Amino acid sequence: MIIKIPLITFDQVSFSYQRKVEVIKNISFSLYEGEALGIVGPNGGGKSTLLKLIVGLLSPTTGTITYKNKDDQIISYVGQQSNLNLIMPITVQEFVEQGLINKKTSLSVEKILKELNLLEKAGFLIKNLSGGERQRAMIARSLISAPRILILDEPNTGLDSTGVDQLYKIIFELKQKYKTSFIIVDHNLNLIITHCDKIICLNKTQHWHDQKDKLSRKVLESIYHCEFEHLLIHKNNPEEIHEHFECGDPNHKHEH
Amino acid sequence: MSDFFQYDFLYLSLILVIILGLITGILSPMVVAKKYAFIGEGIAHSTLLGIVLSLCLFNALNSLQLFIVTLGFNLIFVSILAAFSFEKKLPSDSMIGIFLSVTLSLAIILHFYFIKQSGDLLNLLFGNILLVEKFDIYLIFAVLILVLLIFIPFYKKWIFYLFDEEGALLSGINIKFFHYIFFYLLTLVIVCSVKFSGSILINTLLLIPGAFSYLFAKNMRQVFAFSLLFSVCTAIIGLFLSNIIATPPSATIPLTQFIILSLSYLAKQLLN
Repeated sequence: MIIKIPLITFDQVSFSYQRKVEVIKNISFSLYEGEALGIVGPNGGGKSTLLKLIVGLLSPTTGTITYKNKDDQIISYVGQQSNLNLIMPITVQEFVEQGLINKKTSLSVEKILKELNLLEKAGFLIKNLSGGERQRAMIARSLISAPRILILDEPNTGLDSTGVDQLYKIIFELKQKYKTSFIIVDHNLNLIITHCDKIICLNKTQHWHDQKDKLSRKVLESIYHCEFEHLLIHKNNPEEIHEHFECGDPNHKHEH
Repeated sequence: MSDFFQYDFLYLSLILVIILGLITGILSPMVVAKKYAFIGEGIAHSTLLGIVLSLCLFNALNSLQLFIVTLGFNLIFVSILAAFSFEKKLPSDSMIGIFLSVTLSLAIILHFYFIKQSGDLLNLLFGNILLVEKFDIYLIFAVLILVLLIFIPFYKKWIFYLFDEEGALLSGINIKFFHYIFFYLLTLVIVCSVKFSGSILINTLLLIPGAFSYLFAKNMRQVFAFSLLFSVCTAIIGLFLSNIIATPPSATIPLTQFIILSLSYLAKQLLN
């Protein structure tokens, strides 16, 4: 029998900045090869902190984080386009090659550009690309080092609906072809519900984590402290469409 | 032009502007990319405080003593600026502005109370290229070698750090190290050159070549090539012009650079 070992395991992880209020409390989850984990939650709910813990920029206050093989630099992070200094004339080829700095393993630049439909744009400047192309270039730069886990932080920012569709199509293909695992932070709940296998809902010390088909409106409304319309989980949970969830905390405002 | 080979001080000043042009040709695109427009001005003004403190505390009078003590003080001041700008608690241009005003004010007050007799120190801020000695040439040449040694082997990492600081950090690049080294290099260049270049010229040399290269270059190698070429050529032209029309070089070179930048931009617009 083959025992699958998770690429990353969080065991009762808590974190607080300067030992004050806990931003993250007792989070446990595992991510396996080829899985996509979606992280959702309101602003200030601890999503960025969780990502920093995953990539090792922060250490947990309590609990443990275990990596399958940390020495292999298994995680690669796709940042946000707004951080790029677009005054500099960097070509797509040069940009993707930046992903090889400090990395032991690599795929060929040509192969990655082809995979992300950017081969014809290799000589173009990053500043002259459309938002969707730039996002794909950022993914290419992270993928070139052949990471086992790719983290995308709000990848839809600045993309139109076609760009978003193309992006998730590529994510799906990479999952299938290279068995790459994804961790995606996104405010679009329906995209996360559609494309991710597991979901973490996070709001400071409250959190929920499981397979996506167990996600209900109750959970989402408890995390966001508001009601939702047009959620794709309606289809799977018809009994909950008219249900109103009260979390019981008098301090939480419920906007309806 | 024959004057430059006839008189030692002109010959030395020509060598100096070429070396200084090479150094600032490398650093200028980095300063422009990081949006540290007033960093040259800021560090040049803090040099004044360094000089005043060297005179007050150590009575340093010969060139080498003055240079070492001033550099020491300036590295301390600039470390504080680098630390605050790295934390990004305030925008970097505001930090540089505050730093500039505070160090200059402190220098003026200390100068007023302790060393009134040593002449107007503010003259140092305007510099005089014709005061160059052989010692200055050796010093600035050593700085050029150091800049090349720090820049060339780590070219790709510098570009990554300048283009995407967050991405570089997550790729395992020690961006704090690059940030501090960048500030220390600028300090070294400015402390070595402020005596003859003055704060106006050094600030221009750190800005216009970079601005020019970003207007015309199509990739990063071109950016540095154009910046180096522009910086050295315009500095030489400016120095020759100042000799012909008898104007101060530290004011003529910035104006020459600005005119060439404007004409190039105009030509580009017309050709397009």
